[in-house]
Amino acid sequence: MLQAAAPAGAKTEAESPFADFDEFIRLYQQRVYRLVLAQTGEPDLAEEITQECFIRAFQKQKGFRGDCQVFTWLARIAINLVRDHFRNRRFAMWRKLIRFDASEPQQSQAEQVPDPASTPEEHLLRRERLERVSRRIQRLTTPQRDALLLSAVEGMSIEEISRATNRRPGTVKSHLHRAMMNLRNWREGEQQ
Amino acid sequence: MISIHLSDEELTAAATGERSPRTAGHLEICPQCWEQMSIYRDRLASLKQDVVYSGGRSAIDWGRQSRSIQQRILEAQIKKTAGRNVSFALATSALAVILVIFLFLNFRSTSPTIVSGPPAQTISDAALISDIEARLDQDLPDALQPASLLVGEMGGIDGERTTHNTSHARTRTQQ
Repeated sequence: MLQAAAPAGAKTEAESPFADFDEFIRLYQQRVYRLVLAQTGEPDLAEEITQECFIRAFQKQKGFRGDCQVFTWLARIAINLVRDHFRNRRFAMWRKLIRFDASEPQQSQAEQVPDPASTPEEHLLRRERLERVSRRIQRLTTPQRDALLLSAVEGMSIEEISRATNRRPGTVKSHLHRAMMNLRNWREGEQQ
Repeated sequence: MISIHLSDEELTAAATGERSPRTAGHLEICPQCWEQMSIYRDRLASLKQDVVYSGGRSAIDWGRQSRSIQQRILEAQIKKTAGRNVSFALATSALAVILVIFLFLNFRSTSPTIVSGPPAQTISDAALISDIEARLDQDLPDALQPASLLVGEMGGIDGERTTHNTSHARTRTQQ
């Protein structure tokens, strides 16, 4: 079992949300994965970032002061990881263009392993739904996407989103509104 | 009477659960705004359904991911510990090297330096003998008087050697 140190804000180790880190992983991995998957639209990448998120959480657990929900703190780590990933990917794309290296996409496709327990039909349906979500989400800016997903999927309040994204509540409210407008326009376009 | 309808911003905020007293009060009495807000809420719910469904996986898969995370955390811990050991070893080595260099430099700066004096002068035999004679002519302590006499006799000038020897023999005979 992974032993974790008590965070600065927690009174005792037993009260710490990280006291049993295995349980902590089981408790939050689905939500973190879902959030990352909606942002990236790539299951393998989402899994990779989710793992990285928990490793960071384990390493930085002393930085959790208990002044917000644990998931808000985790979401912040995950959002930063996704942002870093896409920033690095942009640079990687430039590097690839310079080197004319086409090996990466092939490797990425090879790493896509379907869930062994789900049927092919389920897998296909999930893929379709994911593509639909991705199509909607990718039209939004990063702050709009963060705000919308945390609000709609995770049910976070403006205050919590503000903490998770490190933006002011007024800004979050504005991003959320624009995301909703964008979503409405897109859906109306889809229905036509 | 219904007050001014809610703005889009207020409606979207209400759909996400953020309702000010004015918004809440207005929604209770205005079916139009309520309907609009319900549309937004349904869209959010639809988005949530899609995300939750597409992110769904079997228990086996979650278990596999959970183990994978635990494994990676353990590996990261091992790597961190190893890295710390390597850092410690490097720091110790660097300290040792610095110490050795310091001691070496310190040893060099304090080692006795051989100061070479002026080059030795070559003295000719004649000059050496005359110098000895000059020294013998100087006053000597009583204890060394017999020796000086003896040296004076032995080191006499070649021309007078015979005379000296004779007188010396005479002295012995007299003694």
